[in-house]
Amino acid sequence: MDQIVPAWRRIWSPSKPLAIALAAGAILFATADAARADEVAPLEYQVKAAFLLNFTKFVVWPDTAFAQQNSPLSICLLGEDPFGGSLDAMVKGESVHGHELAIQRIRRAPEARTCQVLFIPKSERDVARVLDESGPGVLTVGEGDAFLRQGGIIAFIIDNRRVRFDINQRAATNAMLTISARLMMVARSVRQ
Amino acid sequence: MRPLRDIPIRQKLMAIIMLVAAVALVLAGLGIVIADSYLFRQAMQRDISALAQIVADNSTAALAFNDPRTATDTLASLHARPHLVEACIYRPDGESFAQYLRSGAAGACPSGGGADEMRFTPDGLLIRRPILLSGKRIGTLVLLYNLGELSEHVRLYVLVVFLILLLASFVAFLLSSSLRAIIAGPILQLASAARSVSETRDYGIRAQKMSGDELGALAEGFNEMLAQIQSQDAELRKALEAQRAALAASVEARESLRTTLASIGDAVISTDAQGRVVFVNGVAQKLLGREEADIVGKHLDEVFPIVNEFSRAKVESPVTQVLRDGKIVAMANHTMLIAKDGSEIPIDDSGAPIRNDRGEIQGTVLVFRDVTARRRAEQTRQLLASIVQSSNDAIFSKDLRAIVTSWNAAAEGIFGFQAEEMLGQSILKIFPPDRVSELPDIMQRVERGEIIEQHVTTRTTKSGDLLNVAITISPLKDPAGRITGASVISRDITGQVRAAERLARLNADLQHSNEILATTNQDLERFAFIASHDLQEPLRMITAYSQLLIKSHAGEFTDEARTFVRNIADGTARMRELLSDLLAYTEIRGRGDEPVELVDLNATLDDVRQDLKASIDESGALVTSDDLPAVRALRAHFQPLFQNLISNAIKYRSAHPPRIHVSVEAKDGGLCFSVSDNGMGIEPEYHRQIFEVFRRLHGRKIPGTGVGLAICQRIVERYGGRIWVESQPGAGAKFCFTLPGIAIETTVKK
Repeated sequence: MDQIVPAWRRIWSPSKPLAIALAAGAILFATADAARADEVAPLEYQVKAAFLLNFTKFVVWPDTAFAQQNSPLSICLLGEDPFGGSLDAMVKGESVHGHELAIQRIRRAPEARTCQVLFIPKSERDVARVLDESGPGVLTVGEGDAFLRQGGIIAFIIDNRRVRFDINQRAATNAMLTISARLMMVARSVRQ
Repeated sequence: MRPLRDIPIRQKLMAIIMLVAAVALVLAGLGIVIADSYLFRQAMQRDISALAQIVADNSTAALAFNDPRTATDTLASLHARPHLVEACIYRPDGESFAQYLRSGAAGACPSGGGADEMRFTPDGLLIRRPILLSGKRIGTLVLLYNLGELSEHVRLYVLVVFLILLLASFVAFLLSSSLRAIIAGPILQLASAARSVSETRDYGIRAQKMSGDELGALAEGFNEMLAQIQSQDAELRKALEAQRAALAASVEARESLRTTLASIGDAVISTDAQGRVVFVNGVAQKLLGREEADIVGKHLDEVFPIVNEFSRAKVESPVTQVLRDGKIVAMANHTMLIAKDGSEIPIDDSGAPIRNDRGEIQGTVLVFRDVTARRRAEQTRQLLASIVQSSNDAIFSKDLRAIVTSWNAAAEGIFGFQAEEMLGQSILKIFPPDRVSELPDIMQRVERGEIIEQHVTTRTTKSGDLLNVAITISPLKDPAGRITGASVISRDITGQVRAAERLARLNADLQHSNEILATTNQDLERFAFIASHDLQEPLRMITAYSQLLIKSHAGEFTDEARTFVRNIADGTARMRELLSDLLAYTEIRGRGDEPVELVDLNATLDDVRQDLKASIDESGALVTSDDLPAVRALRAHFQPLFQNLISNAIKYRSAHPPRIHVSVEAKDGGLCFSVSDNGMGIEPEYHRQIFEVFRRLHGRKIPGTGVGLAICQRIVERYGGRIWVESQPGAGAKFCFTLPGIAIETTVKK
């Protein structure tokens, strides 16, 4: 637990890169601290927000995934936004592969070439339908073990009180996405 | 070690090739090693840089998704690089994220802070580089790469270069043996040709041309030179041969001349036309008292000072005269050479000019000799001749045929023949007819080398007188020791012979008179003895009857008659004394057969004191003596001897009481007695007379017979001794006598 102490303290640092780094550096999250998490977002989702941003850096989208060559790379949040404002703060001003990052909040499965990353929170009831409706060129990110079985590409897993993720490589291939081996190396498990 | 320039060309070439190869290889190796280590560093930097890039890239996901385990795994894959010591990943805030430490490596990752860099540190190559994700720094990678690989690399390179060097040297050695033949071969060939030329002097040898390069040209040039030398050598040899023959002849001539000059007995000096000495032989060096080096080159006047023996004036050098006159010069006699040490040597010398073919005077030759010996011999001969000539004895010589060869002045005087009458004549000319037979014997003994000494014989004079001569004949020898004749010294002893005859005659006469005298003396003594003995009888009668007359008829006499009778009695008494002494005196000579006995002279002296007791007491005399010896003698002799001397001393006393001392000392093997007194003394003119019989100095004033001292003298003379007196009037007298032949029994105290 003593490793966490400096990390906690630095969460409140106003510096964005530092905040990202610290968020990424946070190893644990404490469920007991829910009261405090209400103020911004629970620590878990701050970590997940940082992960979500970082995934874009290890995944290569086909050009066909974008409406235009200079279209922003959109991270779409389906339904309820569990990140609060933390994801917006992180993404602001960031660009990946020559595309600016942008956040979109959507209610339904996105249309083609509008979303390159689709986060489906666990609060979504009909995950399978959303996945079916999402076309190729969309990196689908969900929560829980079942998400991959349902055809999702990356699933956040809480493993030993740490935020980790699994990858479904076939789903990625089906979605015409190339996932960096380095990302797969970091993943808890990779499903073929 | 030999310097490089002295070693043979083959080795020189080899050394050069090897040296060049080695230098090239070493330089190349050095360049390769340096370049390679530089390139290696560069490569290593690139390599490590790339490695860092890969590691950084591979770590981005781990950092991005906060997965230190994966990062650690990534770093662990660096294990494949054995020289990578450390690899560390830091978060942007400098906190360590993952690290790899090679097992066994010391230390740990340095702190995460610091600028990005790539530098060589003592620990190795340090790389600090950012880990970027989409251009954003998400961490820092630090690698420390050990340079052991570099030094290993360099070591390996050095080893390889060294091995290559060895191999290359070997190959170069193999190659050089064949390569150097290209250069050294012709040179060696040339050198061996040159050596055999210089060793054998055979200028017919030619070097083989082995190549068309400079060495070939050298060989050609060498051969050309040899050809020239060969022809010149032949000419030179011919000329040399001729010259050598000439020289040998001249040296031989010169040597023989020098040997001749050195070995002749005369001193030889030769000079040049200026009078400077050019040659001096050994005899001359000895006479001048100088070494050859001290003479040659100097002017003759300097080393050959000569003076006139008598005038001491400097004599002109014969060389000066010769050079001036051009004629042979012989020095005057009496020339003295003054040697270097100042000694003077009488010499004979002569000088002659040396002329060349054209008759010019080239120098002089001076010949001189030491004439000391000759002069001395001359002097000796003159001395002997003058001795012979001035001798009083006739001295002459004759050869073995008895022919006279010399005849001195005395011979002329003694024999009357002049020298010219005798020289060449037989010595028989002075032999009387009865002595001719002596000659053969004399000549035989001369031939045997005997010396005939003091042969007394007779010879005749020219006038026919017979001479008594004593002849000494000695053989004469020539220098070889052969007897060539004899010298004769003949002394005229005619006068001596006559004197001897006269002496003999006188001796015979004297002998005869002596005998007569002795007989007479004996007769006289006998007469004296008989007279004194026989006279005693009538004397006793006269004494007896005169005493009777006095006794019986005293009353009848007148006073005058009584005086007469008494005078008769006195006279007879004195007569008796006189006869008694006379008898004693004649008896001393005695018969000579009385027994000799041991006489203690001290006892004898005591007896004398006893006999003279009355007069000693009366006069108050004191008779002392030394401790006297005992002698073998006739007792009867010493009593009267001492008694007479002591009684005389008492009788002839002075006003003082007599002090008489008898002393004795050993002298000349016998004894010397003395009886000294303090009496009246005796005038010197009487010192002899007093020993004569009946000689008295004082008449009737002092009684005595005048026989006492005569008896003493007679006794002393019987023992071969002598008696004398030492006295002055008024100073006492000392009577001394010697007994040289007496036998002494006890040692006389001194």
